[in-house]
Amino acid sequence: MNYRVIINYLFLIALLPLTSCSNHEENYTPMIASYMQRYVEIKIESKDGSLLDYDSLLNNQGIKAWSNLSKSQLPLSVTNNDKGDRYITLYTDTPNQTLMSFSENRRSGVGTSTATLHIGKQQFELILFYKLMVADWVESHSYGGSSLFIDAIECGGLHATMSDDMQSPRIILTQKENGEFYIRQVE
Amino acid sequence: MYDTSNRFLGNFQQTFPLFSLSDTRDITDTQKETGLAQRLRQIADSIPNYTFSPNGSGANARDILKGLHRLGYTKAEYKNYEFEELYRNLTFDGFGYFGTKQKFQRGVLLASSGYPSGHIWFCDGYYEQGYVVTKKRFLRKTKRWNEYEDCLYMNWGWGKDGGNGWYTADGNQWYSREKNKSVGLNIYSQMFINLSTYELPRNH
Repeated sequence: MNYRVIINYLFLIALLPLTSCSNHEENYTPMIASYMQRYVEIKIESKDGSLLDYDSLLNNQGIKAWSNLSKSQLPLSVTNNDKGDRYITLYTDTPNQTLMSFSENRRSGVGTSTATLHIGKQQFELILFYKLMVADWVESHSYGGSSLFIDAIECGGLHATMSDDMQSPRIILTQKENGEFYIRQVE
Repeated sequence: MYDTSNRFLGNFQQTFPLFSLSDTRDITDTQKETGLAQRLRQIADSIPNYTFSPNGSGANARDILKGLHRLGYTKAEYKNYEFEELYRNLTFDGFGYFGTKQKFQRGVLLASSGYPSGHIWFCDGYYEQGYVVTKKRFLRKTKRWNEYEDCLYMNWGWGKDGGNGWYTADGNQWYSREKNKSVGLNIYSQMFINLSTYELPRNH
């Protein structure tokens, strides 16, 4: 084996880790806080304005949600709120901790999370703008005192900002005459 | 305080405040002041310097320990997380109603003061996951052995679909066995142990 073959061989070995890096994806480490509000209420209306049968929709996998962060299906369930409204609850992933932006004193931060909602053959992209707030009294050895919540939501070109950290965003989907759905309201 | 009687010592002692399974119906409505909410407030009031604010509530380890003592967990201790000690607190031998020896299970409070402000949660389950590992060479089995992994059931207190389930400690994360997710809360994990001994507080 002459030197030129050895040099070429070493060059290829050196190149290998560089090419493998191109497929490297950011690991997902969910941002956490002591209190978290991470769900979205989904209301789906049929053509005549009545609510769709959520239970059969879920049981027949007519509705699904996918997270691009954890690369996994997101949980959906049917819930009644205290006003008696019936809706589908989507539990979103919190932002990736490594991609959060923090204030200088690290008492607050912002980050985004995305989810894809599949209804039949249609899909809708949701962008969740999360906010982290750490209370003033929190010291380095405190347990609690931080909240992470959805501060704003964007879907189908519509945007809504929440009034406080207890409010959950709501999306209203309505069925068109041709059977397809569109985002009627985001609040 | 789900069942902290001293049955393993042969006597029955109710807790104060007392909780029952029917309290779960009050969890669904967080807007109303329920009996459950009042009893949870009683616990918070037992912890010195427990702070409420719009961005969450909480306390530090020393004050939580004082609160546990006041509530009747007179032998509660605060230590750095160590699996063997945790295991001894989760499952131990005692005596049943009729003086017969039996195994008892009790939960342990785990806590982390890591970034951003820490959290405290409940661990109340253990199982050992077994694996059979097979080593092959040229498609022929050359070696076969068993490996084991300790799994803990974590109740994070983040509500429905909040990630409660079985976790293993993987590096400095709690790693979910069911979902491909980790919870970065065990970098500075601590535990509140000896929660099996309970004495009714004098001033209840």
